Amino acid sequence: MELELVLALSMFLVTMAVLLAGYPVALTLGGVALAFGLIGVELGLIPMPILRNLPSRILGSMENQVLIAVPLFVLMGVILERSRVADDLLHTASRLLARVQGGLGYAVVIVGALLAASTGIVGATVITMTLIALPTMMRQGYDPKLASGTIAASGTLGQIIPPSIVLILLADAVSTANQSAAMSSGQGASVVSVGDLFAGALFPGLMLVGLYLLYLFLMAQLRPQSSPAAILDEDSEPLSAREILVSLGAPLSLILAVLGSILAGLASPTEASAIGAGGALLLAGLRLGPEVGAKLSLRLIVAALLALPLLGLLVQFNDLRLAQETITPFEWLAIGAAMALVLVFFAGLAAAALVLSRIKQLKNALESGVQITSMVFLILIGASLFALVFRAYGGDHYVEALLTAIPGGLWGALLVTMLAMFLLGFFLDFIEIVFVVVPIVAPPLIVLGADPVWLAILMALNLQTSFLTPPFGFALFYLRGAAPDSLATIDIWRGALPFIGLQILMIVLVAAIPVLATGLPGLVR
Amino acid sequence: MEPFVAFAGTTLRFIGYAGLPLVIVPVLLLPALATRILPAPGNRGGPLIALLKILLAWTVLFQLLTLPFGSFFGLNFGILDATRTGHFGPKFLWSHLTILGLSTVAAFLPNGLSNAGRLLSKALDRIAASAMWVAIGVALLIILIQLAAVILRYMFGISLSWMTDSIVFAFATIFMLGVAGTLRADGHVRVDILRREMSAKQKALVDLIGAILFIVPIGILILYSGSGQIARTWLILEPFNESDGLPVKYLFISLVPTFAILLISQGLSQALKAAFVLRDEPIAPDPSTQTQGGAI
Repeated sequence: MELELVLALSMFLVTMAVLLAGYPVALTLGGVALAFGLIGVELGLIPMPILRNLPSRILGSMENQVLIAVPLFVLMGVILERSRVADDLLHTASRLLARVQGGLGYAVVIVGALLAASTGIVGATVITMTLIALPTMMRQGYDPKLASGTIAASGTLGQIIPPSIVLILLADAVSTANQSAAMSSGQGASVVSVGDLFAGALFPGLMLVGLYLLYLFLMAQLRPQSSPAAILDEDSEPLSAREILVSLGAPLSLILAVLGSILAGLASPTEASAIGAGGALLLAGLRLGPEVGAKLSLRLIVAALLALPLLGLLVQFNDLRLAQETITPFEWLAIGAAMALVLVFFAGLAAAALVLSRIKQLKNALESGVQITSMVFLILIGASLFALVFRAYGGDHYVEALLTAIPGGLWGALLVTMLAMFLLGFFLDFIEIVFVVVPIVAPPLIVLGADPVWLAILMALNLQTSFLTPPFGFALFYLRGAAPDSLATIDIWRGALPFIGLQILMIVLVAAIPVLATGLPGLVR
Repeated sequence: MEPFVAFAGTTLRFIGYAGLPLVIVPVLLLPALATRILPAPGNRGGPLIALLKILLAWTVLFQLLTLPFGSFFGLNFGILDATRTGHFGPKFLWSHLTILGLSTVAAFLPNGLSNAGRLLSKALDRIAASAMWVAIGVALLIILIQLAAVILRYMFGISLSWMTDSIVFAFATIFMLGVAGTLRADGHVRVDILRREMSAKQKALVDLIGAILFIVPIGILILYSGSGQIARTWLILEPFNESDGLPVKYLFISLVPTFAILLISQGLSQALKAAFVLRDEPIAPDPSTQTQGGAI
């Protein structure tokens, strides 16, 4: 074997060993790569300037316009998490559906899907649902395996239902891969945007929700004792229409504004993410305002929320562009009104921030957002050093040769890739897989004829499954942390199995019928 | 003009190198702490322990110096010569004797050092915390600026380059300044399959080795390889691309070395804390330090 291959392989193995020792992933990737890079320089295999590329790679990710949506969507999620929108949703949905056979299960899936489309943070969703829904389900006599499986699986929906962080990162990785594939095969590359992946993931995500619901329905019919309806309603007080409207309306309107504007092609994902973060701030202020008795702030927030539709109307019926040739007096009036409304809107945002900081939640939410963002981008930096060295040893050529040598062309190579990602998902986080594995395996697959959007959606579904695979799936881990000790860990694991089956079914469906993933992006374009 | 640029660039690079000793000196102190692992506190051990200490310190120091500096400065402590000629020349002997001497000194530094280590760790943590505060403020700011940009564009048909630039600036600031604070709060994701079963000392050992072998060298690589670009961008006070763009691209680029320095300083603080755990004298954790995040 060639020395380069030996070194590339041992770099991979050493990385795995250090990861298992429990050192932070981002620093392990970068550190091991640096050590192997320096070994290569000493042996004369790698020129030193390759390692010196690291700062310009870092600058590249700092200037990456696509990734600006990541911190904004993360901030939207963490702010919404503090606003207890999840708690309200869950209480309302479970009280609405509790008396139906299997109703609590449906409620968990639906709430999971709604939260996925708004906050998209798996850990927070699973913990909230475990704390609120699990005790109720257990009291009603649900099969603990079914209850925990439903909660864990619904929590992972945040990974696949847009807007999700994994799709943004995948869009960046796959579109780079697409360009390098086009370069090596000499064809022009189509651009893969975040919007494409959001549109592509919508149908598979919703179908997954449908599959979960179908499974729960079948369980309720075939084994009624596993998911009984509530016989006696403990909260005798019926839900008022206002409660339903507030708890469902808030997240729904946010989802409509953010996802709607992206899918309709009105706003770029980055712009929509800012709208989402601002909206989350206003909703959190509205929900938590009464607790601190901030009357003035509350009024400002309500005014800001009302200002938005008014602004929309103004834009719809007037040309407010300041650069146009002649501006009629009426248009000046409209522009003045719009500016006043904008001021009201920002005053509302400030009031909401004030409310959050009064209950000491603003700094926590923002700090949590900064930490998640830093974690993601440090992995990006570590992974780019890893990729630099791996490529310098020619590792990408070995992988390419390996993938094209597999019998069965695209399908054989795809099967091996998906299996490898699935296995890696047992103990790696999705971020590392996206940053390390995708840039290496995606270009040869695209050259073999895979549609980039289709490939990305398959990978996203695969990565989502890794959250559910025992023993180290993140969703199971969070569920274990929040569940009472009376729920056996083995039950949590066994409960996840049928849902993993549904995931694999969904992957096979998308693989067999590519139009499920590629249809909507084609239409939106 | 050209010789002036060359002269100024060289000067700036030298200033950059002169900063490196500030990094190296605390790194030299670390093995001294780490080598105190062997005997329990108060028990100084016999000559065998002393020999082990010297050997351990020698290994750690050698790793420390070759990994980041060996190749960069063209010194490789005689190893390259040895692999070429087949025998160890005077350069090899000389450099290793120097390292051995340094380690002997380091291994027998007085116990009073531990107080200095504690203070140093606290001070470094404070640096990370202040950077974190900036990142937190900028996180709020980026929401507002991006919203303002959206409103200006869709309502009034205005698109301002300096606004786009400041969004990019804010975006990069969040994670370039937030990484160190996240490290301090242990917010970087780990594979914890085996870690869950480890004792506190085993965890500390992993963290100590990782900080010395991974964090510090990565930071030094970034500082070293980026120094030329930093010098250039400060010399011409580079603006962002557009004519009406933000005029401070050099500050934006300076985030890279800032990130590296924050990473190194927090890495040292982590290493110090781990070394103290290994010595059975853990530094009490700062109550304000906690992970706020979870998996995405």
